Amino acid sequence: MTAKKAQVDPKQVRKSLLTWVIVGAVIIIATQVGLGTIWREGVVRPLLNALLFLYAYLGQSFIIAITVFTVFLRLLTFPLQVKQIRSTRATSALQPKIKELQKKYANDKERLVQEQQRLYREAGVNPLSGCLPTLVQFPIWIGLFQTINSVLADTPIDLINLGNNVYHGFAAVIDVIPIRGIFLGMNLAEPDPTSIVLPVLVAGTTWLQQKMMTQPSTDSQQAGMNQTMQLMMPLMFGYFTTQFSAGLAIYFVISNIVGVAMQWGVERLDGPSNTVVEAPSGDSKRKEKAANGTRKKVGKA
Amino acid sequence: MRIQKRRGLLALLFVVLAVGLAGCMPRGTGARAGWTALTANEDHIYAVLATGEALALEADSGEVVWRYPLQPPAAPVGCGLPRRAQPEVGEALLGAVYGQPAVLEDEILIGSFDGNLYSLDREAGRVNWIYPVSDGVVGGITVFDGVAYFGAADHHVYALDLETLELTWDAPFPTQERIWGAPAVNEERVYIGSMDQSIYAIDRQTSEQIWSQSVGAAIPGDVVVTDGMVLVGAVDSRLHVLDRDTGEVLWQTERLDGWIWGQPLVIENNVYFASIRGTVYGYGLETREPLWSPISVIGSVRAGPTLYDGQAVVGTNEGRVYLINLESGQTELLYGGPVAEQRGALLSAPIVVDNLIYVGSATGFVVALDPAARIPELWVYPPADGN
Repeated sequence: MTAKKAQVDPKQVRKSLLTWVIVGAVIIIATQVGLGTIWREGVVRPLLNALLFLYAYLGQSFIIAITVFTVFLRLLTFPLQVKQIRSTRATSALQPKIKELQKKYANDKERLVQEQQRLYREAGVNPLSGCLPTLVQFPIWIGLFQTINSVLADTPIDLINLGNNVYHGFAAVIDVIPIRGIFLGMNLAEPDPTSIVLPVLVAGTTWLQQKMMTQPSTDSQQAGMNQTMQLMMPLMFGYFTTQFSAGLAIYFVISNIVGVAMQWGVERLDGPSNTVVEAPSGDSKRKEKAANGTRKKVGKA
Repeated sequence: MRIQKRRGLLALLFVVLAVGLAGCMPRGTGARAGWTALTANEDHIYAVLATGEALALEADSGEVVWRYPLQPPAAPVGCGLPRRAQPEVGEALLGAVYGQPAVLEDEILIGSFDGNLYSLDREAGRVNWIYPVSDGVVGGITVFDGVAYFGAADHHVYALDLETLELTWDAPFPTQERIWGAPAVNEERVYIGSMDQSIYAIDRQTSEQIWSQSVGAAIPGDVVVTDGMVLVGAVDSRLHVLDRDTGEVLWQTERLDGWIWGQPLVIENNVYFASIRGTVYGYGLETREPLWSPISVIGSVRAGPTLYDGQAVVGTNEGRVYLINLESGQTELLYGGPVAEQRGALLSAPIVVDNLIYVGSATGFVVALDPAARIPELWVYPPADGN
């Protein structure tokens, strides 16, 4: 009896090697230059100068600048977003098969994992790839939090940060400082004075986006978790909005709206997903075949 | 049942995470931190810390003479949730303070970003009075002939009679943008720079505008008036020198490496100033030429140099203090290192009293330095032992 030779996918090896090279390069640069410098030069300064550039050349309106900036950022991450949407849909479509495997290998966890991986590989799906756009957006959110306050420069400390981060050759900035950060009587550098309008808008649009992005799951546990996330994420972002500058809240609203539009566009292009949906309660009578259903139907399940 | 339990736990985790994170984030105006602003007379150092506490300290020992408010604020729960309700105005912490307070015979005047001008009793640290303005007071207060002159973020210049607490002008003098710098005042005029890119010369008695001159860039700092000239730095990274009588631009430096924010220091026919990118410059006012090659220091210099025994003292946002020989431009690091860096950025102007230098950090430390001593650090408030 001969041992079965492990099959190595050269494409996968190249991918892994590239990942490790990137990780190694980041570690070497971080130790040499410092994480703070990387963060400042790689995230904060480009974001800040891009926002200032848009403000300077788009009628010196912060709202227009932040809108164009947000759309631009979303377009930049559009390929990742599409990948995420398709990956989520594909993973969702595999749920019945996964469930079968779970039943079949209920007593053999190792085999179950192997079979699941094989299933994903054959379907060309990486379940973790769905997290990538969200991970990419995290540094943008944090960078924007710092950037928006600096650009609006409501306090001397913010203005110092602005002065230290503006590119030296960026002459147009001289004419536009201080930035006019008033919109509908609201100071965009401060939290929404009503504590209601923007938090509700942020929570509402986050909920809508979450609802559209969440694919139905055959796993009742997963479905339950999805429902919780769908409720908690909007509440959390809504609460954050009462603490953050209104400028950042506006970024969230626009970003969510663009995200919803993208989701809708991709769904229109790809057509509805074919998934057996199970209610979180696990009641089999409430199972609904969504093969011909729209997102609306899925949502009702 | 198990699923519901998990969902409940997840929900709880989210709520805790949200509240915790939000507590760590800066909030609205009221909670905005300033930096430590210092002023002094012969015996005492007066400091308003970034926390909003005001202090009088013995200049030679750093001992606390008085503290306002009397009861230190309760330690916050977690990152930012207060432990108790805020006390009434007059007992509460001051809002963020950025400008140098003015010391008078009996009182100290402090302009705050919370939109009030505070008068504290110089001996006891009690609030004498509070004058409300419609927006934050960022710059320092200049007192001349019993009148306090200051600009505010509401775009106006105020002249407040300290006896009657009424405006000496019919109305505050309007500009087009917020004012963050302190005015320079003489017998006849008040000179002030605005973020609307202009410098204004205002009749001190009537508040009529005598002249205004645009320098083409926002002016965040203080103006200096000297023999026939008005000097000011701006965000175009230049120092502008104007004719004091007409406002005509006499000359301006070339575009330097960073914004010029701090008050220029004029000694005889020379001017010394620094950029927020950490370069110190010296120019001859008549020759209009650099006195020496620009000096690079580590960190941003927000406040202008202060004169100390023929040398300029500058503090940086890296917590360092440098002494610069005005003749040669030779530079010496007086105070620095990891401890200094840990104590925070030095963003307000150092002050000099009796051959000692005092600096205040953005995290609320006041440090007395004796350049003649082998170890320059004389005392630190708050002291390491917490007393």
